[in-house]
Amino acid sequence: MITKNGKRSCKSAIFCLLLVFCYPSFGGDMLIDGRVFDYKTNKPISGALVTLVINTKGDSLEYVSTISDSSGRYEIAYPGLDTYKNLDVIVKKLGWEMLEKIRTPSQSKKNKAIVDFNIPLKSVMNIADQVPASAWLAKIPESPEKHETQVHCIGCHQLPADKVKTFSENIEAAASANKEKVHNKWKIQARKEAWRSAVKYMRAKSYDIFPEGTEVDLAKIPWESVQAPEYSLFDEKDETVVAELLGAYMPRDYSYMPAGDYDYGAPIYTETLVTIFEHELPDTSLVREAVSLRGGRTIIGADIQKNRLVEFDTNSHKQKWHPVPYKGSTGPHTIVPDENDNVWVSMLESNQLGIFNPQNSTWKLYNLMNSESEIKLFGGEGMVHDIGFGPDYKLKKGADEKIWMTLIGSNKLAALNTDTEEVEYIDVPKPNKERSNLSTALYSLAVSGDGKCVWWGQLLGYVGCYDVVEKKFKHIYTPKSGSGPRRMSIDKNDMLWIPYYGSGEIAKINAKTGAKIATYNLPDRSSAPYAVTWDEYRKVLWVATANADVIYRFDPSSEAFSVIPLPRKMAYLRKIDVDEKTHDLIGSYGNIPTGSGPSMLLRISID
Amino acid sequence: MAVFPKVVALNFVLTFFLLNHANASEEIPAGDISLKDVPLFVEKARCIACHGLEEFRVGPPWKAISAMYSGRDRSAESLINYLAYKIRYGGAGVWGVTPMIEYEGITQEQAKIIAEWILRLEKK
Repeated sequence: MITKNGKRSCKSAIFCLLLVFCYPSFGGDMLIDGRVFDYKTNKPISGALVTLVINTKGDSLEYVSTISDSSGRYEIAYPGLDTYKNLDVIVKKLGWEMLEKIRTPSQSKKNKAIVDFNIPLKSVMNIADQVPASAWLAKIPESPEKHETQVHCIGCHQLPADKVKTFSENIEAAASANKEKVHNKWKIQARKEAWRSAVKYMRAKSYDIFPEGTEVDLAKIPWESVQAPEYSLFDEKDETVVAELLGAYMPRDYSYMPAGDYDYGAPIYTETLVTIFEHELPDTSLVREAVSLRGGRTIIGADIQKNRLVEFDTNSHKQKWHPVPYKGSTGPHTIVPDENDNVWVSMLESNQLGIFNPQNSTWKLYNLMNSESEIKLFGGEGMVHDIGFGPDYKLKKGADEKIWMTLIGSNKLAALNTDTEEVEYIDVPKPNKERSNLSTALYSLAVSGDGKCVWWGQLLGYVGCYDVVEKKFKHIYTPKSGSGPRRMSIDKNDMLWIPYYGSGEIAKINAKTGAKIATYNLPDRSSAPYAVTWDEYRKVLWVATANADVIYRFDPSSEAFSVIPLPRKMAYLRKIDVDEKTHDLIGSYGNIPTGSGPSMLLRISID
Repeated sequence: MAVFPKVVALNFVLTFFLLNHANASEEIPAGDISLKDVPLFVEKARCIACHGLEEFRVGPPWKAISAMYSGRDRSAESLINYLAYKIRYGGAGVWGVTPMIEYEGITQEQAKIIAEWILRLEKK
């Protein structure tokens, strides 16, 4: 109905007639289109994000965006667009800005579509306020110490987030206050110690990640325990690595970055029509993961803060909340859909694994640690992180018909027999190097095509396979120092893709033989690639970044990257799901702590 | 998602049994406060992530801040306003080069009550 060049085309008069009759009853998508151009030269601007702010009749604001193509054309189709008058329009592109605030015109009754709504931009010299956090981090030379810092800091928040920038500028102001007297060596030491203080602050601040109702409260725990490196997110070595690196290299002035200094490192994807939908969620919730169900009609997100799931209807924009039926805090975390449109949910606390059926809003909970002495709080022995899935990001059992999971608190693999509810536990080898338990915590998981090999990765430890038939470990190897393997994906050809969060790389490994095929540098290595998702429909790999406000698209056949920029800052991404029917990409923004970044579900339609 | 090792969890369990617990919340409470509300407010607003009453944490203890201004008229509006701005917008230099971060969610009225509470500590 709508073609790429923005004109509505009717193949035949009959089809047109049908359309006229059908439209009012179906409320079809209405169109806005136009051209983004340089107001001085009239030349087209490609790769600009055009966003409409829509106050839907559902529960929340929605932001609908598209990317202008190589001739500067853009188009947005949205259901009932004709009923929304004078919408705010925001256009963004690095190195460009709008001349003035603009709104959509009121449509005439005859022609409901808004055509040729052209948008002029002007170039700017300074892009300091436009660039993502990674643009500043990219100024620090690559090194194992930088990669470890990236792993430790961006695990919760973007680096540098605005508060971190202010912190860095204020250190500089204080350290340089007495310009004539201050010895340079003192300044270096002062900067390092100030960043060490920031690490100490983060040790305390990290208590804010616990879900509502948790028994772990910063106000009730002795300060010595809060700061004890052996109990902490960062051990003493980590603290020194972060403090020295940031003290020596962190930019100290964030007021200026020349245009052209940063451009994501890859061309913006403009080959086909991209529409980005962002659905606002309450600020008090923290939905870090979301998946698509029922052919794209429903998005389910896990609200780690409020111990519940959100069920979002993509047509009505209604949000329905489903609390976990457990007495006590749970912190729903990772969600994996199964073939019957249920979702499997791991929890931060209370050692629970849940399965939720959205058809009738019912839950079933499995207790992963059932002994008398179990630890129920955060980091307990039975805390599930990842749940085994296949190439389509659907639950996939091992060849032994069990559901495989990583237990992050105890460095064990767990295998659940859903019939008997028995759980088998396997201790996973870890590096002997002296690191805190956290550094080597067991994290991600993916299941090979034949179900034999359960691939697992540790935060800063090994990656390897557990053969569930032969019951032994295979193909264990040690990624480079600081690389930080995160959420993996296995494609239909049994290729394992591993994102390296710290070093900004993607590794490709043969999931059957364990042979290393290749390692690719991301276009922006400071982007912190948290997760990869294989897209069987487009035969590409989507790379979700936590620090660059973008999704990278990697085409294995050409080994080339392109980039889909997102319409806002602090677009901290985690796992992306690809819907099996609409092929939309589904995700959410999950910056910690709650409220420090946008609280939104993300849906990207790519034609 | 990062996680604590078993030993930490155990530590938490022990702490839990030893102390009465309240639900954690990082939200800065809204509305007017009085001097008696300040101890709970500084917990909720997470001031305690850097400051203690007598304990050096990341920043100076509140009693030390109070002592620093012992030579001044501590009921003076100008001093209370000055400290209130420091609470809201942070700063660096008085206690070393480590900056305090800003707390945008705290209102000037709330910050003035906190400042007054800090300044009164030394008299006790």
